[in-house]
Amino acid sequence: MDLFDCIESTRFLGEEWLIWLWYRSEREEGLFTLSDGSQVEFHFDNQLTLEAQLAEAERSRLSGGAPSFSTEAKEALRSGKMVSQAKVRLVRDGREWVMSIVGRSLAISGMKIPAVLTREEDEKFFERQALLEEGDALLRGLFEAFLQVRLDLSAWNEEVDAIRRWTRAGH
Amino acid sequence: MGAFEGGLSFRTYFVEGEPPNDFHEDYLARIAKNCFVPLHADGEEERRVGWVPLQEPLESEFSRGLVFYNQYLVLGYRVDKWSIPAAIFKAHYGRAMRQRLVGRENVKPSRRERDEVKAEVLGELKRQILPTMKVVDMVWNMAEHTLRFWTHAGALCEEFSELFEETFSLRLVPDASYTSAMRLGLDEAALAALLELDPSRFGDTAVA
Repeated sequence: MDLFDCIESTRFLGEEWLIWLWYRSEREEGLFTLSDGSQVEFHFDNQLTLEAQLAEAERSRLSGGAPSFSTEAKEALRSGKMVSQAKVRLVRDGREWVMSIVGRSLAISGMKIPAVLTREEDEKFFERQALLEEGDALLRGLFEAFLQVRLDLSAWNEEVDAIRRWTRAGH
Repeated sequence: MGAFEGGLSFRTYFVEGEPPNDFHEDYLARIAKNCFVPLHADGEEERRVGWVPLQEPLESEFSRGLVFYNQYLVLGYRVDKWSIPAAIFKAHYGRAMRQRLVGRENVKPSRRERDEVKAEVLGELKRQILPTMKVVDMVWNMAEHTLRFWTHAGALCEEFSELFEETFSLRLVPDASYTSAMRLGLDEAALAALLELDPSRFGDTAVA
């Protein structure tokens, strides 16, 4: 299998990752421990899109307030839809990153980074890149945490059952 | 916009391979070879792409100070194209054709004649307008082998990848679940296991 096929055949993991983050962030009140032992706060923000897998027209776009807590969002999950895009919030050391993540491509849009403090033009660039990369590293850490569970089939089956119970609990 | 200021919407790529030793001059020459060349009204090309200094997108001179920022290589991917509104073209073409046919109103113009008039009209209109210009930011962190390209447009991303690989002779791999797992250092067995996974169903009734 060439790299292109490997990428295409595992795109669904991005959507599963977002669902797992959603479930875990509610269960753990947004607190995640990364593989280096550090902690990061993660929350779903005010935009959430769920889509049916083979029927793109079947899409639930929820926005405003906290859509991830809504009955509508859990119902969409229960109906088999996956999270195709979510606006999320990451907090570490009092600094906040906000961004929308596309599940299948992991593309990032509308990212907001902590305030750049430097005034000098070149230094501003370096600080901006460093903040971007820090936000990216936090996301990768969360993806790594997901992969650890996802690759352990018995742990993952338990997780999927727990997620199903969680979606029903909101009913 | 994005690398220095403005919106932060981007695709991430991983760069496979190492830049050569003392790459600065080599890379500047490679970039210059693939730099953006402006469109001309008399030319046949409808669209052109190429590299520009991100902070000076009208220039085609590349210097170390404009391209290299410590471990970052920063460029603009410029796309220009002629964009003539269909209604304007139609009106000008109609007028030109009527003028051409004065005195022989009952003779249908040949295809060749129509093409000639079309080319003349397009040339005239191009001389009166400027092409549309788009510059997409690119920031390559050479130390981390990661690259950000500030757009989500699929066709543009593909085209950009081709120009990047042609320019630097390095492979560009898009960020995705699988390549992200590779970057996290999963071993071959874990990567193979990843490929064996089936999508999970979280709903009461599976839609897929």
